[in-house]
This record gives sequence, C-alpha cells and structure tokens, in this order.
Amino acid sequence: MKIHSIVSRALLSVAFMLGLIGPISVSAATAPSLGAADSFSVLAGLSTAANGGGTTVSGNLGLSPGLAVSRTGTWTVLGTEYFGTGGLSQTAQTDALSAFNNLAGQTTSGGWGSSPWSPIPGVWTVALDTTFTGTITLDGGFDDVWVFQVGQDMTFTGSVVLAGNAQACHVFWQVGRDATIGSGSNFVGTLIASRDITFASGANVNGRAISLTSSLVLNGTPTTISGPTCNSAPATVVGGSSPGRGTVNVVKVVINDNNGTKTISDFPLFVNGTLVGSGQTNNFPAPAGLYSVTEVTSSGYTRSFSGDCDANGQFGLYKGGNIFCIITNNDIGSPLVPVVPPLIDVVKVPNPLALPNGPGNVTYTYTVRNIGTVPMTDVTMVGDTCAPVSLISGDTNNDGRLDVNETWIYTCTTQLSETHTNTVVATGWANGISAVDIASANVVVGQSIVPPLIHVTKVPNPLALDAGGGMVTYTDEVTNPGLVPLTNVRLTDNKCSPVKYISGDTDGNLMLDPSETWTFSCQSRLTRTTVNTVIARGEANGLTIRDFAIATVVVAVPKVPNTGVGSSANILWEISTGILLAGSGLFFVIRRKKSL
Amino acid sequence: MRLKISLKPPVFIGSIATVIFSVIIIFLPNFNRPVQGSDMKLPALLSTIPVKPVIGLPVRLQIPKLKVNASVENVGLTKDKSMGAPKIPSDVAWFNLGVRPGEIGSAVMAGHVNWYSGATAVFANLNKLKPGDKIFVKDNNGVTISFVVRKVRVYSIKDDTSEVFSADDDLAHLNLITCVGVWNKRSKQYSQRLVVFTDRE
Repeated sequence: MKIHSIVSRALLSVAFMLGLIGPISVSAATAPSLGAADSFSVLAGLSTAANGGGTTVSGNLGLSPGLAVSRTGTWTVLGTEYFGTGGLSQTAQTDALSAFNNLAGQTTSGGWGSSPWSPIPGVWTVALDTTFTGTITLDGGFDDVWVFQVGQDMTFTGSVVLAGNAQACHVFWQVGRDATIGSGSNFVGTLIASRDITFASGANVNGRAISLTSSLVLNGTPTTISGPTCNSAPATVVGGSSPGRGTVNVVKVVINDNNGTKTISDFPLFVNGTLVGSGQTNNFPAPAGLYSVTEVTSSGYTRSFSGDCDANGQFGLYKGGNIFCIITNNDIGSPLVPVVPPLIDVVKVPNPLALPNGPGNVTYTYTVRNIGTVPMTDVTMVGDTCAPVSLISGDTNNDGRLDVNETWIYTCTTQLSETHTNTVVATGWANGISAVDIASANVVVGQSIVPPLIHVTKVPNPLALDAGGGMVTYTDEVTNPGLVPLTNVRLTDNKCSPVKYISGDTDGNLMLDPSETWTFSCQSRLTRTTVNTVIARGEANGLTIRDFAIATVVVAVPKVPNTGVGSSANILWEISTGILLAGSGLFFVIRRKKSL
Repeated sequence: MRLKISLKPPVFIGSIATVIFSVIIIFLPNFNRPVQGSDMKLPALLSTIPVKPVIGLPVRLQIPKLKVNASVENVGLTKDKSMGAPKIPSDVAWFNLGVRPGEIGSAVMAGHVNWYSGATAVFANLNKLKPGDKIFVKDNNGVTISFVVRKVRVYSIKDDTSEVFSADDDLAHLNLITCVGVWNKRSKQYSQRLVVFTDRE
C-alpha cells in the first residue's frame, strides 16, 4: 500500500513536471478540402424547408438524393439549385462526407469551454450532446483554423465572433447527429451535421449549412446564409516583426497587499523555455501552434494570466501578430486594512505616422501620467525598440516620484526602414503594488497608409475596499491619438461585464474621431483583490489596432469569526468563582471591621 | 494584624471585578458585537446589483443530516475586523457585508460549536457533513434555496481565508464556519476553523 502510494506519487510528479517543462503538444487544426461542396451555402439529403419569413442564400442550394419538390417555402437563392442524384449536388454530398470524416479524425486540442469562450486555433471536442449558449470569440491570423467536433447533438444559441484576422472560411463544425441553431444567433463557419439541421428563427450564418443524410429546416423570421467570407493575408505584413514571425511581450504585475516583498525580477519569465524580460518585445516564429508562458514561481504568491494568454498562460501566434501576455502575482493572504494601489497611464505617438516614400526618421513622444491617487516610485519604461528614451519634462518638483496628476514626457528618435510596431511598457510602484500600462505605435514605411492609434485608460472607484468588499465602478476612457477616425471601437474586460458605452460620440457618426473621448462604464462587486485587463479595439484603413489598460483594486478579507467558547469560559464556573471570591472578600471585610 | 489589612483591598477589588465580569458574561454573551454592517447598507447594494430573480434575506438554515433548523442573525465586522458571531448559540449568523445565500458569490454563515457550561451549539456536528450533503436556506420571501456540500476544510486562524469569503467562478455558494482545534486562553478563541463549502443546486 505504502509502496504503491509512493510509486503513484512519483509518477504523478514526473507527469506534472513533464506537463510543465516538456514540449507542448500542438493539435493544429487543418481545413479539409470541401471539393464540390465548396460552392454550396445550403446542402441537405432529403429535404429543405424555409418555414416562416423566407431565406436568402448567397451560394448554391442542393439536395441529394432529395428532389426539387422537397425544397419548400420561400427561398432567394443567388447561386444555382441542384437536386436529385447524378448531378453536382450528389458530388457535393460525397465531398462533404469526406470533409466530415476528415474533421472527425483530427486530433483534439481539448474540451469546449463555457461562454464567453475564446478558444485558440485548434480542434475542440465534446463527445456527447452539447448545448452552448453565449459567445465564442475566435481571435487569430489569416491562416488559423478552428475545428469544433461534437459527437452527438449540438444546440448553439448566441454568437461566434471573429477577431483579429480570423476567417469564417477557416471555421468548421462537425456534428455527429442533429444541429440546432437558436433564434437570433450569429453563426460562423461551415456546419456539417450527419442528420438534421434546424435554425430556430432569424439566425444569420456566415458560412455553410450541410446535412449529410437528412433535412435542413429554417423556422420563423428570415434567415440569411452567406459566405463564408474569406480574405487572404495582405501582401505587406504590418507589424513589428520580420516576415514569418510575431512579437511576444510578457508583462508582469506584482501585488504585495499582504506584506510580501517580491519584485518583478524575482519571477524570471520564459516563453517556451526562452528567458524573456518583463515588458520586452521578443520575436518568435509564426504561425506556430501553442506558445506557453512560464515563470520561476515564488512560494507564497498566486499567479494568474490575462491579456492574450489563456488561463494556463498559453497563446497562439500568427504571422505579424503582436501578443501581450499579462502575468499577475499576488502574495497569498489578504490585508485587514486595504492598501491603495497605484494606477499608471502611458500613451505613445509617433511623428510621422507614415513614411510613404521609404525609410526615414521617426520621433516617438511618450506621455506618462499618474491617474491614481498615490505617488509612484521606481517608474521604468522598458521594451522599446528605440533608444535612448529620454525624460524631457514633467517631474516638476524633482523628487523622482510620479506624483498624482504629474505628466512626464519622454521622447526617442530612430530610423525606420520597414513597417514597424513599437511597444513600451511603463511600470510604477506604490504601497508594494506595481502598476503597468502598455502603449504600441505603428509606423507604415513605403505605403501611403496612415496607421490608426487607439488609447484606453481604466480607473476604478474605489481603489481599495474594506473587508467584505463592495461595488466598484470602472470608468474606461477611449481616445484616438492618431489622425484617422476609428470604426468598430469595442472594449473587452476580462473581469467585468457588461462594459456600457456612456457618452463621447459627439457627432453621432459611430466613429471615434481624434478629438473625441468615449466613456464606458462597468460595475462589478468585488470580494477579493482583483486585477482587471481591458482591451480596446478599433479599425481604420484596413488595420485593426489595440490598446490595453490594467487596473488593480485591493480588497481586505475579514478574519474568521469567533464561534466557540473554551472550558475556562464555563459560565457556571465563572459565576461560582465570582460568588466565592465575592464571599471571601465580604468575609475579609467583615473580619477587618471586626478586628478594627 | 497589619499584614492582613494590607492584603484586603486588592482582594476586595478583585472580587467585585469578577462579579461584574460574570454579569457581563450573562447579559452580553457575544463580546464581538458588530460595529458595522447594519441593514442600512442593503438597499444601496440592491439597487446596483443586477439581480434577476430577487433573492431575499436569509431567515432559516436547515441541515437535515444534522437536524439543524436555525434562525439566521445578521452580522457584520467586529472591531478587530473579524466576521461577527451569533448572539444565541442555537442561531447562525449571516455575514451581511457579503452576498445573500443564492446570489452569485460566496455567502458566509457562522455558528457556534459549543457554549458556556459545556452546552453544545448549532454547529456542534458540522464536521459530520460530507460532500453531497444537502443544506437549505429559507429567505424572507418564503423561498427555499438548496445547496450541496462540495468540500470541507480546516483553516488555522492565521491562514488565508480569501476563498471562504469570495469566489470567482460566477456561481452561488454558501460557506459555513465553526470553531475546531484547541482553545487558546490568551486569545480567547479556538486555534482552527472548520469551513464547509457548498454550491447552489
């Protein structure tokens, strides 16, 4: 028994170590060939019915072996219709079955998550029936592929959101039995189900719906099946890395809210085993499967990931991508009296934003502000590919501290010969807690494109909460330090939702203009020290840009209640002793009186 | 004779003090009276929490396995920043600075393990709960919310108990606390706490 437990423990620890330091197994998903099925938006076996408001289909519609009479309801088919056996719809069904088998045979990367779920590119599997309600965000590059395998029935209600350069034509759903898409869903990708596919009402599909053997039914208000959209990568990679590579920036946040003393250098950081410095921009090969961020841990600290890393510190890297992985260490235990954390903000603006005539000089201006309530010491700026970064002005009282409402200005000039994204990470300290902010700036060389800029700040109120916690209101302000208006501006907070738009689009054009400040708000009830990471996204001139803001709120935790009494606190004992002592006291008083 | 006289006053004062102490013990069994966390705060909290089904204030805690059917007192923080304890040994105390049982987050209730004169109290047998056991809370709307024991853990009073008071899994929990370990005469409390973690069904 004892030997058995020792052996199993040893095996466990070996497995654990391998899991931590061994090579990361990559289950890269691949897009199967769809053959003749590629041109179809709707393909089914026996019948297809558009009940209710009718359906618009952008590509071909096909039934095989079903005949034209089995296509019922109101259809607007922008492609061509094919029915019966011996034609294109039969070939398409044969090719769709091959694609289905190819998808079913791909090696899994793991199980499904729950909403909001952001799976990295890979093969995600549920063996039995599954019901997913909510949002799946697919963030990746032009070449990244997602495959969703479901062994039996799938019911999906909600939205599939494409982010970054993810492509609808690279998303596949392989369903072993029936598939149901709930009302009002926005579905993305090629759905191949062995049996029936049902759209409840008013769903939109950016992709294809293929039932191999059975029926496709569309109920309720109009449904649109179009696409899937597919863009190829632009010829020029816009990003801060050589072709075939992406950049990775690991940013460290340390919270000592319970008298811990560790600092950033106490936690050496690694990307797939390569040592990296906090805030430094590193080039890694891309596209690649999974990268993993690890660190030398310190006992007495918890660790959590945010930004582009998943909960395990893993991320996928696409060509020209810029990954920011934020890793937070918090000393275990909570304060009885909460300390006030600092809050830092950095914005970086290049001048000029574009060098259309080829290589030239660019001057970056960095504006660092203390947007919290406590002065910061040890302010550092790292990761910049421009040197030297010089402090021009701002420390008005020359105390070396970034005081509240002080604005420090730095500049740096460099020559750029190719399109480049330059990133800087500003860190400051107060009350044992580090505050971090990231700023990136893109300069396009050799093309007449003006790259956009976006900037976000996050200010929690209050910054510190007494035991028991309470409501915190986060105010997020998004600005445009560039020259071109931004479309599709959106915020994602990893610890607070919904993030509500409050005001700022003064001209009501739904674009974040350079003169505008858009204010967003989110409320969250905190019961423990919490670090929020918000990502702001915007688009202009065909480029998507991002900015990060990271904010800490410290929450005290109560001591445990005193829920027992000791034997010494026996009430009868207390009373009897009291009476005894009182009696003896009285006795002495009487004796004293007598003796006097 | 002189020796006797010089001894008398301290003894006399001591006796009076003991009597006063005993009286305090009788009428104020809970030394750690809440100094904050009154019901005043609740309307303000309610207005800002996006509560879908409104969950009422807890009024009864029932643990069929332990034959517990207890009234719920409201407590906040004591002067030393501890969660308050119930005034009556047969009651449990709900920490009213945290969420209500059934709301997303970790609601916390405490009960005494024993009482003066060797009497037992509401959570005397809390250590007998096992994962899978059921716990019910009745709120002031008459709604019963059920919970299932997930795990039982013992903490030293110096341990980090953040996970008792908070959760980040977007689920509703109810955690029950009582005393275990050895009595420390100097700090007038037990050395450990038993915490039963439960999940809403």
